[in-house]
Amino acid sequence: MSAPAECGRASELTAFLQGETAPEEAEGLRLHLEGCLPCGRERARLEKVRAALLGVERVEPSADFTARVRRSLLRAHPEFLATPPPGKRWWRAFRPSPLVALSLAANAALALVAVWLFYFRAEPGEGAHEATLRWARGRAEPGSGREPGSPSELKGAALPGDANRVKLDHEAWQGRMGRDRHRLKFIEDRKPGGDKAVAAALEWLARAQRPDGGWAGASPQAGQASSPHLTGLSLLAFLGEGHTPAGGPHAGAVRRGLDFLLGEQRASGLVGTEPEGAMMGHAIAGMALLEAAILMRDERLAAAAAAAVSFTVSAQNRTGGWGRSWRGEDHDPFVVGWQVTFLRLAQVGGHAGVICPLLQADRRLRMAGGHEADAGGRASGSGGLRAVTAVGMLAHQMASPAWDTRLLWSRAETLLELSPIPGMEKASFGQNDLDFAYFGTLALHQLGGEGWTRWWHPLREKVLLLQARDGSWPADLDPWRAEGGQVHTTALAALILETPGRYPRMAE
Amino acid sequence: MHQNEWDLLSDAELVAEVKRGRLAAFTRLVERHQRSLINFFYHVSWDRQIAEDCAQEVFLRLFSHLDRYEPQAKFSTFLFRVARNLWIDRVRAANARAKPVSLEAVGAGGDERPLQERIAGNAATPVEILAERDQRDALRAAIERLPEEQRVVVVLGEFEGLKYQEIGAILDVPVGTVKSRMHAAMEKLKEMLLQVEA
Ligand SMILES: [Zn+2]
Repeated sequence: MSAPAECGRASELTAFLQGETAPEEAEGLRLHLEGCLPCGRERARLEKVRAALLGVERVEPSADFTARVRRSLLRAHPEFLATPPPGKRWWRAFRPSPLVALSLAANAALALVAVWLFYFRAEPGEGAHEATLRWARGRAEPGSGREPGSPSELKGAALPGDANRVKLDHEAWQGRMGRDRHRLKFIEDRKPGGDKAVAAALEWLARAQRPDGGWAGASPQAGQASSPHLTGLSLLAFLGEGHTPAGGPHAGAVRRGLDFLLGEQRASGLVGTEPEGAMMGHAIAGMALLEAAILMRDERLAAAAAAAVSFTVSAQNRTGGWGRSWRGEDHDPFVVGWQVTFLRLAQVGGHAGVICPLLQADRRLRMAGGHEADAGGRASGSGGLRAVTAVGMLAHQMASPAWDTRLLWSRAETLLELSPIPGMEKASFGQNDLDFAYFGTLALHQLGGEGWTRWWHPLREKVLLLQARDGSWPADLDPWRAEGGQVHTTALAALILETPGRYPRMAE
Repeated sequence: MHQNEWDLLSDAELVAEVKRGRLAAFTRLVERHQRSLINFFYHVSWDRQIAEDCAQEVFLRLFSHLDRYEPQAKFSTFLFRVARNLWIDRVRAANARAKPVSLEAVGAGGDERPLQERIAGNAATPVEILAERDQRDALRAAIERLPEEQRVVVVLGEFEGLKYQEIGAILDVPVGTVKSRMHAAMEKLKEMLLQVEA
């Protein structure tokens, strides 16, 4: 027999060691332990026992365990096999719904939400990318009055890998779903602004459009193929000013561009030829389809955008980031930046199924802090730091219903110490990084206040100074995406200038 | 659906999909929980075959009882409740047939002698047993000798990592009861495993 414990409090030690002591008692017990010899001995013994328990033999399930369970289940419930949904793709399960028809006819601001719900109500099929299932659970059953992503639906939503489980603050989310309607309205209400620089940029982009409706990189004459990436970027510049196929000077260009993107979309939802290295272009193109769907309330575009969102969701890697390829783990922050913006926009459009991927991305970038070295090839020096800082800030703003303002301000401080476009002379263009300027601008605009004004005014001035007479920006302004050439610099510069009118604050 | 995409769903969501007739969701639930379930039964029975049979039975019962599952509750609680009830049923049935499959007497495979006897028969002290190749046997025998209601608390708490509150929900007893059973169990394990130090 072990010696009887000599202190009355020794009986509390088991629970204490197992982390089951109430917080208000734990401190007292900890203090007691420091001074009590018998309890110290008892604790040591218990810890030995627990250490021994750790060594308990565990068994692995037999390789065919799951199969056996399945077989016995099917034997016991043969009806199970009869019920599964057919292997058709969700978009083929589309059926006109009176509910949707009505709301479209009513032309209400919420029509698009209904369109989304409509798509997401479709039976998820057996297609390549059925993250749509995740949307299906956020769908509204006709007449149930349930909102997408209602708290009960989201309860305990799990992320890939238990370690990444994130608890949702349901009330915060519920409040946010309501407020997103105003955000949708904000986007729908986009109008061409009076900015001459942007107008000139769009004129230039319209002239640079290829006959196939797309946009291509450095030298259009050299037979370079149009890319979803540059086409999406150019379209976003038009859409950012409210230019749609519905009318106006650029209606034709925008329509042809959207047709090009629709033609580039695979059955998987990917906009691009193959997933290798395509993730950034996919997100940008998907966003263009999505913004056009919102502005046009167009079902075909909404369906294409929904499939693109599905692909993005399926492409998230196991740590919560995105790489340049499907589930890649190279964690290019700018790829992540485009994906989170895309998903947040999808959420504004009525998605619930993107919440977990967003939260995960936020979590990942938070953990990365400002220390992650790999930053889309900008691994050395401050390039990686600034990229991660800007995108991390944006991911948090896009993903979290309640901002951690201390985190955001510390990130903002870091950004404000850096100049977004340090190279104003041709010789120093090599220091520039337009992707960083773009995401930094989005993030600081979201934050607002003094940080925004300190960032925005000098940046805008620089961008305007660098614009050429023909409305474009120099191809070599941004060394990081040289292959994108003038189309890339011009579309991105236009998007930077459009920032204040493009999106509302995404959380506050 | 791509295999990995099921991983994105919570247990509650998988249950909802099972109710909609999706076998793949059921399979995913099995894959997710088979390990802890099999080990739960293994640690109360010390028999691999029994453990897998019981786990399989739990998944089947689970399927018939899905309607009783409240999505607000933790799925693992539901799962272990079913497991626990099944085990009690088995023990009762075994006792009724008067077969030695009782909780106290489930064969550990090989040496069936009580721990004390084994220790007495060996020149080595329990501590040495622990330190050497028989560590598993000693531990297994010690756990086996716990009263059943304490053993299940140790198995769920120490091996499956559940909190007192969840254990209480599984066993339908107050948290205070879990706490006192756990304490008593640890005292006994301490006596059995660290005897020589006293
Ligand atoms: Zn003491």
